[in-house]
Amino acid sequence: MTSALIPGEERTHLSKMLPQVVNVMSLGLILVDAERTVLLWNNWMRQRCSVAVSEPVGVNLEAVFSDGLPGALGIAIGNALKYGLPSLLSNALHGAVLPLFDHKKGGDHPERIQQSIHVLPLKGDGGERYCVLQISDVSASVVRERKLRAQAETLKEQAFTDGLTGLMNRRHFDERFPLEFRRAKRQQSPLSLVMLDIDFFKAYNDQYGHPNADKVLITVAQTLRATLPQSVEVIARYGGEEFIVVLPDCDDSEAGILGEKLRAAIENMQIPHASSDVAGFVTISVGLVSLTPDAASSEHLMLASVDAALYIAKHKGRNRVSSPARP
Amino acid sequence: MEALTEIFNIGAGRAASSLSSAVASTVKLSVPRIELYQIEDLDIDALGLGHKRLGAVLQSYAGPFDAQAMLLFPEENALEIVRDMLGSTMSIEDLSELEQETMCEVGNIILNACLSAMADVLGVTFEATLPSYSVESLETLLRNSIENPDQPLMLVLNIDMIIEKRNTQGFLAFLLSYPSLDMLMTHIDSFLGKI
Repeated sequence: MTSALIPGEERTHLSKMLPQVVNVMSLGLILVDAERTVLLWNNWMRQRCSVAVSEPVGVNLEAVFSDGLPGALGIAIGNALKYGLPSLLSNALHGAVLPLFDHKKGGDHPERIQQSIHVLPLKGDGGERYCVLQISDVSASVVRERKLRAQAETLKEQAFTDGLTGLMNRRHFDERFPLEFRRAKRQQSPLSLVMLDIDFFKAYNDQYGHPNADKVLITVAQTLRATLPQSVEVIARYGGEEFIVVLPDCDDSEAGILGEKLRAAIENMQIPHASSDVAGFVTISVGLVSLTPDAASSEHLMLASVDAALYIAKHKGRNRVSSPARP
Repeated sequence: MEALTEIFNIGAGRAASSLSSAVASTVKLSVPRIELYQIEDLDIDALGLGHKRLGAVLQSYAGPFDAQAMLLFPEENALEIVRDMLGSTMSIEDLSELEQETMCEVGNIILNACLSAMADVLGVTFEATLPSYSVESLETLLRNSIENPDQPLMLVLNIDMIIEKRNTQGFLAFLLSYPSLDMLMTHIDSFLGKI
């Protein structure tokens, strides 16, 4: 249609230039007629496509590839030739449809190029149908997206993990605890919350220095994790030397036993702590609270009361477990 | 309308088989209902799409009758499709270039299948643009699509799509002019006359 508007001389010029244009393009172009005979196969394709014939032009597209024409592409070409409908073969659903290889990458085993293919119908002057395949190399986008997705995963994990101890961080706890609380409320099951704090940690920091204090935090975190049942998912570093544990389906007496187990486990580590007033080694104070949530209870109240229980444990001389039920 | 529903169900069957092989899992498609609206009278709430944002694949067709086709999925349904097909967890605004391309392909498969069924049954041919993808509210989509007020009619197909037992509802809307609708009806009448 457009060419009819171009004056004769320029049209001749244009038709001379077109093959060059087609060959300098940095995408693959294939033209087939209604019988699927290849009429055009540009340089980009010649440089990348492994073919079963010495010359694709003049050959049926089906016979050009040693594995035949991929099914989805065959259907798309059919839609273009029979109905004049264009199609799109996305990379995500089809990957590397055609046997195209990047010979610059991968040495003896060149990498298969990730493709995205447009299948476009054309009509000749006499109404006969043709079909153009336009093939783009999207390998770079695929790699970039894969990287971005992996980075997003890592960032998400980092955003929820305490960098030093590897436990959940406060933010993760703040997100998980309300969920656990609501679940217990819905199921009317008991829920326990344990808050614990390393005794005289500031003094330890002052005497043994920052790096050693960090080591203690890591050891305590690992010991707590190892002492708690596998089924306990939420254990977080709540503050500097403060940790918090959510015990689902756990009532007051079970929580008391577990709290005592945690306290004993840390004490048994026998990590020297010369400036502790309660023992010659690192100990923890444990506050715990258990309840089956009802209309009057809230996660905020529960957090406040576990904090109060920890304060009582500290106040009563540290290295002990305290709860409102057993003051 | 019954004849149209039948034609579109033929298309839906073809689309389902193409989609099934593309995603290597079972996809079922059906068109349970077709409705015709005047766009200006269109009560958006009647479609049950609310005023939510929609994932839309757009394609224009020209032939014996011209139409602007829009395949519409409510935001969360479009997400489910991408998630089921690609195992992706992106939100709809964040659909990457490659994921948008996939939505385009899904839309293209469904639209082409419907149009090719129409072409076969009615013995007509079309020319079409390549699909494009956008996320908008239905109001905005309609405003953008109706460049010429000559297409005051909207033919709405309700689409049920089942991917791996998960059911997703979407809509396929064709914006038509009165002459286009007349042409469509003429073709259907002559087809019915032949049987």
